[in-house]
Amino acid sequence: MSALKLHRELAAIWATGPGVQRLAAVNHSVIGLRFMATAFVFFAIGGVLGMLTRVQLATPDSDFMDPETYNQVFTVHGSMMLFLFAIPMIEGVAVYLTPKILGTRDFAFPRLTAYGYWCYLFGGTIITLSLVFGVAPNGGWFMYTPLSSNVYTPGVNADVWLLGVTFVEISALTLAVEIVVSILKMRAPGMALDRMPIFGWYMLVTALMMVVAFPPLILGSILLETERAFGLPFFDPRRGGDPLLWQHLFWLFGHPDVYIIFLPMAGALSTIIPVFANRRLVGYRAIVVAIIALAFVSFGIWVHHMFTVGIPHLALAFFSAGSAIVAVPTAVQVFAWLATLAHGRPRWDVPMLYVFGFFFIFALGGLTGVMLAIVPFNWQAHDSYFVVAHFHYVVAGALAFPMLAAFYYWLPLLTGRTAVHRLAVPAFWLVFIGFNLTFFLMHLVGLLGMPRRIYTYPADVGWNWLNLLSSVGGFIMTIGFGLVVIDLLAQFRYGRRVRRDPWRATTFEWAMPIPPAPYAFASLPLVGTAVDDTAAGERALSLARGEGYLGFARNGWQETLGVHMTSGAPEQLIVLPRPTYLPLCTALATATAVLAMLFQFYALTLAAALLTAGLFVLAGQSAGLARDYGPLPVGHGVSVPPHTEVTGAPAWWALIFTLLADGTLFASLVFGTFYLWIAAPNWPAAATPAPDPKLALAVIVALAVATAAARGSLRALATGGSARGWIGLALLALLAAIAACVALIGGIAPPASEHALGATAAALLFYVAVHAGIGLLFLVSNLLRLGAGLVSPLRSLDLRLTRLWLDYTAMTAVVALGLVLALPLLVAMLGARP
Amino acid sequence: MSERPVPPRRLWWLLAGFGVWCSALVFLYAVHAIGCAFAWPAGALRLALGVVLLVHLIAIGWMWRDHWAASPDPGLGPTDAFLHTVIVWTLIAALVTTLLTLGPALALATCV
Amino acid sequence: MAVAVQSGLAAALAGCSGPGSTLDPAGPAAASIATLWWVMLAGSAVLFVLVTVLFVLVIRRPGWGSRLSPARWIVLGGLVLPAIVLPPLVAYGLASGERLLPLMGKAPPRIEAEGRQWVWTFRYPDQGGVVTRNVLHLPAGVPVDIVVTSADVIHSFWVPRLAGKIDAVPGHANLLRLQADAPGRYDGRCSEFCGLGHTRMRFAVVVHRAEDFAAALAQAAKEQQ
Repeated sequence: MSALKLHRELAAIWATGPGVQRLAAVNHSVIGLRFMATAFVFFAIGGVLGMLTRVQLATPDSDFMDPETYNQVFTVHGSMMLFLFAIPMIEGVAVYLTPKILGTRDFAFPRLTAYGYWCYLFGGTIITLSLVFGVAPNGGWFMYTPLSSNVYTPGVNADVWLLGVTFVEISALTLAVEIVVSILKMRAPGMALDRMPIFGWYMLVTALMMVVAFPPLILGSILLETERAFGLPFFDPRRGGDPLLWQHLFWLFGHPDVYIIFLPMAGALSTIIPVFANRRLVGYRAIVVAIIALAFVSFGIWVHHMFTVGIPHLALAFFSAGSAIVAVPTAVQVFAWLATLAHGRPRWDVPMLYVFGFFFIFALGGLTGVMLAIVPFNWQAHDSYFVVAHFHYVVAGALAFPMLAAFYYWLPLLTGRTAVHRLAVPAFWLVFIGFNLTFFLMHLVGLLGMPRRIYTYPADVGWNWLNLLSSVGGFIMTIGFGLVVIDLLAQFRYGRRVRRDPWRATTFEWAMPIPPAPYAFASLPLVGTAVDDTAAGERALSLARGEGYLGFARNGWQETLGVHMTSGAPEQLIVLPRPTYLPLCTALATATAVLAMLFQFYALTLAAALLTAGLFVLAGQSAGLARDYGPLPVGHGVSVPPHTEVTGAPAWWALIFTLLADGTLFASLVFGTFYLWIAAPNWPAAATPAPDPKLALAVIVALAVATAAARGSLRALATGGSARGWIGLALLALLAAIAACVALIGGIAPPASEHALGATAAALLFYVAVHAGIGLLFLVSNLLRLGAGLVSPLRSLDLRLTRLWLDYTAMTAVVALGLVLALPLLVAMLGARP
Repeated sequence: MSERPVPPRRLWWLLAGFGVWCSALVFLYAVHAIGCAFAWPAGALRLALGVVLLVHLIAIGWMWRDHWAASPDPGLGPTDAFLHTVIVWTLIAALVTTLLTLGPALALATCV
Repeated sequence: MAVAVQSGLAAALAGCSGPGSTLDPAGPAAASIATLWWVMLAGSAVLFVLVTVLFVLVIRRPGWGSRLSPARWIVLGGLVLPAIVLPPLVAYGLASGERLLPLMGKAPPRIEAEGRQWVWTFRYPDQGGVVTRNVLHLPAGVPVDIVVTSADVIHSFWVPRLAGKIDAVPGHANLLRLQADAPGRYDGRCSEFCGLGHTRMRFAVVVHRAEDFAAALAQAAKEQQ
């Protein structure tokens, strides 16, 4: 078949429609670019806000901004750079590049990618608009309570942050699950884990970190919003809450977040450096070990943001040593890169200029990081401009410079041209010099005693010159970034035209047409040992002619291959959904719920949340295939069944990793309960809890019945019986469990609004009720899909997903209710305290 | 692709070593907080922490010894050899990390 | 530009002795931390130069670094180098941190510091419960434990020339051991963001000769009322 004919056929299936149909896009290339472009806009807005702070601080006693404006500006600057630029930017890179690098046509859940994008766009817009209306968050990007409570921040400012950021986090979490599943199950045939490009390992580890890191913050945000809106005192020390609980939950997310930003960019560096060194990456296995170690250790050092809150020195020592040792995996990577360059024949081009910038700046950020890990020094430097300097070095080193290296490296894939050197080189030096001038001096001004987040300072404390020079540096850097943008745009028109695969890389993203087609690969490449070092460009023509796998169009399906997790052997034919407006509508419904919450129209919030849930169920109705197909040919004499007919379909794994995230949230809630018990002031409460054990037992029994019924439905399906009766039984059991939970919540002592003891009990019970409620959605979807013929003995995935969900619900319910029943005992134990 | 594929559940082992490290950190932190809240004598608290640390070190050491002794299954091909190396090294890294991050603290004053 | 840099440097060096400078310690705690800083600065400078020079060398002198095998590179740079640097540093940090703790053995006199948006209130239980606002009076040459609390949001008590900071967390009482070596006046401030008045939430530390302390405090309290 000719390459052109194949291209026409596949493009007709995969392309996003023109005009308004763009809103229905689900393709990873389209969404990935949107993510990156939107993140860049927020970067620009955040950058302008940063410049405003530098204008304010350039001179002492400045009255350019009043303190309220300044507080909003620095809070939104930080929140925007972290939540609306850094995370979405790496998500954009992940969405756009990962499928291409791994040699597959798209991610596993295109509609979820699109939903994630819309959530991000709406959440970011809410936060940006709040700034325009002067009601932006003003409590700092980590929103410490009680300052962010409704007593000290009565306006909507903090709600904007909590709701907007939670919105964006939901998008990050959906994407994280999708990235994990896609990397594990969707790669080029034959791409065993040991042959996966290192970028895949980096993204896999990053996405797993996101799955575990975001839930504590989401829980914290929910608890704080409940405290603000409904008065449940999780963080109020007068009513048995503890502001330090917020700090734990926040930094349990916040610290890993730094590495979540760094690892994908380190992945980009590990991809770019070998190409410019003209040699394979040194230490592939060492790097894999290093990033696994890094992923874990980065979670175990969150308390180093809390060295001054009064935690005993012994406990600080765990985190101090951990924060020092976390430098080791990073050092392993840095020296692997140096070794790659040392053993290669390095070339020099614009991306390498930014790699140099990365080495220089990240080394400084890392070294000050080790300094801050040392407890006594941290006592001095914490919350001073030394810390401001440190984290700008880390984030710019970890994100900005590698990101620009990546842009210059990968943009030819989109433009077919390389950078305009006369612009790119001076732009780099302006950014580099401006950055160092701005932030290096901040180390010193911090040591001279300048604390963070002050809107002005007196003239006689010796900070004048340093601040002025920092501001000058800031403007040089901004001009540099302006030039970078002009250069990147100019590349589209004035760049030197290059052939395909201009850098002679070996990764698959270069083995495709420029710019990439919506189906990415006309046929999927085979990974074998012999071809690993073949320049990607040389394989492009054969793939375009359809000589790889799936080099044909069939049934108008968007087809790609699902592979065995470790070996990469083809295992299933994954049929992906076509463009649809559903993600946009669902995101709009979610946005309505968030906005209604913001304006305290709680009934509307509930309605919009139910609508969102309904739309998710609706989305389920158009997934899958309406009949059994059995094994279908995928090329090269291989036949595999469609994903609807295998046990390890992407959706199955997605639910596993979703439950991992959910379990982390639950574990955080349990941690919170114990934390308040042991550490919060004003415990025990005046009233003693006396939960009704009969009701608790009723919840457990009802959930046990539901899980048994789910098994019954699967058995009935397999043996040709009717599954509907079993599903009906499960529905009734879940309704009973919810009713018993509500009754338990109603009988909580002390009342949830009076003491954190009652509030945590309510939260635990509510968690169970919500999961039972989501179980109802699963069951309703099962009934609908059974009716539509989307479920058969061979296509039993729906019922297995339901069983898994109900099992999880029952297990967490046992823990939650056990804890609620143990509360009286725990309270009694407090009497033994001295 | 002629070899038998490595079973996916092998991948959980990549998380095992540092999983134990996480558990060690959580338990040490919790026992320390409880000990200080209930004013356990310093010696008893230090002993309890030492026992918690030791149990976790033994757990990782035991997993390491287990993996070190077992050579990769030749029937499973290079992917298994790769995973074997990576798992062994994550176990070693986890053991060293546990010792170095959690050990020194136990010599310090308990609840100040 | 050159002039600006020069005068900036001059200002910076002179500024090492600023009123709120951690690099101009006036008490044993701040002095010990300043020493720690200079040690770490020297070590970091060496490591930074090492990494940067290595990067430039491997780029500019192809083949220069290939005498060392790839595995050696990773082991020496990624494992041996941190193994030499980090454990001694952590041990040094923990040991010096331990010496700064308000250990119970030799409990010195206590002064209570309460943060409240945006005022510091100091109480002196040993001096008959005298109260001063935004001025902390200390005796020179003797250690004092400051009991730091908050009446509303989180604040942080920081006198850079005397010691590190400790947060004022509502519902908790934190201890910080301070000692000023000589009489004088030092800057103190809230260093945890606490709302609109955060910038202005500063206080002065006035250190008196130990024998004059009681009288000076009584005088100051009277004047403030």
